Amino acid sequence: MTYDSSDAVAFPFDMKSLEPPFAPLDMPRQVLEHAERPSIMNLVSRLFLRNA
Amino acid sequence: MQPHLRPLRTRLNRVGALTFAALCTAAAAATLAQAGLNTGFDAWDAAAVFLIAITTGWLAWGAAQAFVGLPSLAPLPRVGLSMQSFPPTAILVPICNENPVEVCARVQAMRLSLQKAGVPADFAILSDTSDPDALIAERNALAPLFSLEDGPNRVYYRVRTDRYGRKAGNVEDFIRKAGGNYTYVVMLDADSLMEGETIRHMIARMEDNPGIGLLQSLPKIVGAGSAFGRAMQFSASFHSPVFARGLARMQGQAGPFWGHNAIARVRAVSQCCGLPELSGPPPFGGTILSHDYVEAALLVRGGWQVEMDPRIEGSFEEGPDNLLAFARRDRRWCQGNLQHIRLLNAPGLRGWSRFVFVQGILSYLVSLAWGAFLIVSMLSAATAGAPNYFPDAYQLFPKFPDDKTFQVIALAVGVGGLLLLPKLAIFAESVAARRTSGFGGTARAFASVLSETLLTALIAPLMLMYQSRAVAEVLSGRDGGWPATARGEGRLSLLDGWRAGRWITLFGVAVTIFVLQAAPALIVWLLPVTVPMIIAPLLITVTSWPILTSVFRVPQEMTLPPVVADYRRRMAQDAGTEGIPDGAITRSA
Repeated sequence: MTYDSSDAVAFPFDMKSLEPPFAPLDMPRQVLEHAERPSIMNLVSRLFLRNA
Repeated sequence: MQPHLRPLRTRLNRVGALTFAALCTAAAAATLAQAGLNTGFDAWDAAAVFLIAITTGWLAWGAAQAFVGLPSLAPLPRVGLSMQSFPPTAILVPICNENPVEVCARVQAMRLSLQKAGVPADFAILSDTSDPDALIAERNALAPLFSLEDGPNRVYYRVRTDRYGRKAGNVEDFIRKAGGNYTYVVMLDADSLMEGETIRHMIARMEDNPGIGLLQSLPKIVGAGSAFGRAMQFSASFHSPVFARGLARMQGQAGPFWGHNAIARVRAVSQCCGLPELSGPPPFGGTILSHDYVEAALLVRGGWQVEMDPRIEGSFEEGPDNLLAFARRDRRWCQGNLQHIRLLNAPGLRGWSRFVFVQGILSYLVSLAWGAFLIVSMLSAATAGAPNYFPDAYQLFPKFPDDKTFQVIALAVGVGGLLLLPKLAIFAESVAARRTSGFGGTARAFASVLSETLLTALIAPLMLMYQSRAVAEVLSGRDGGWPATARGEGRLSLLDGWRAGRWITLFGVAVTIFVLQAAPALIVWLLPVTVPMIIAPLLITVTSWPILTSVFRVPQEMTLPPVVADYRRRMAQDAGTEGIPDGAITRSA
């Protein structure tokens, strides 16, 4: 079956009016991976640069 | 709480099934080890014992699930729901370059069914369609749904241009922007159909137990026409309810989510199911493909109950009608399940949720293990030296090596038993429960069980090859993406079959030549594997044809469920009146 775009009639609806009413909900991103372990260099840097 | 979901019963069922699987594993490993010891235990024997332990353990686990599911469950609880307190519910239909005429007919059929059941739920068609021509066709085809704005079952339609997170992201986008309007969402696939009474019952169950985050039904396959499709349809109707009862008993309140034909509490989903992208590139990083299992695990982690109830009727979906479509879907599932390797150590998950991930991962790795077992067996036979009948310097009589035929036959009978016994037990259960009448009577149901077993045995080597290739691709870092299912590919030609299966034929021929040269004694043992491989193109083609019509009858084929009948009637009316862009149609799940 083929579709000829010239067959398309003008869509009679405003797309915005078809969308579900706005009623937002918070949906926090879940944590699925453990935080990466800091490298030794990172730890040392943090130790010496903590007041930087 | 449902009696079969009580924690103590769940634990007992789990322990019983695991013990059975462990005993079968030990028996298979010991039998093969004994065979090896008879002729001097070498590295090949060690590898074979390891591989048979994995494969038999997996088979036994599946068999245990069927055995646990044999006793019937208590009748479905009667729960009422008054029109005055009907909770706001949305039925979500995520689509992505789908056939919009079919989508429209399904929504119309379900809307009528909901009206008859007095369920004032809204529909939300959530489009991720990207192809411009398909989008125009989609809008025009769905237009009749929007003209009845004031009815109790309003249809919303939203097109997303940012396709973050694919199908899970599509639903997430709805929850983030419009979830506050609703207490429950019924999640469907583009090919799902559910009766209004079924949705009413599921809403009432959610109202009855505020602790449930998600309730999953067991969808039955409808609309299959080919031998392959109807065999799957039969299996899903005849065997799956028993397997699903076993699963329900073992999963308890940490049940599965299969991505569709389920109802969820919006609050639970918004709290727990915001999926992140995994670090790193696909196939192991990026968007989580098999999102449903992860969402179920996250709901359970958040303290919500996730239940699967196989007693809920009136829930339907369509299945692949040929082996190629099945293998293509399986490739995506393979990547999705292997991606769960990354999540085994996810913080805070329940032990059972991690075990469910392990099962999904193993279900694909086991194919590799079967393949490796066959290769090890061949190489072991090929590299075995000629027997030495006179190992001692001064020996009057020849010393014959111990025969290991007994152990090998015992192993084959054991493995065959694990494959066949659950099916025979389910047949016996269906006779006892008098449910064979829906499958054309006892004799026809038995013929269908035998035909399905034979067909499954014939295509098993092909599935092994497809799954092994999928696993190898994923492990080598190749992303399969979200492959399209071309429309109208149900019935395949011999040329299609040859193109899809020639690599399996070549592999089968190569194995046969190798075995004939290196270990001719094995050739007879390998015939059940090599013959289907060699005739793979023929099998792929012929099973896509509408043959074997006298078997594989199912209740929903003999008496069409109202919502399916209404959908078919609408499709028959629409036939030939709509144009769909070629090559732009895919399935979203």
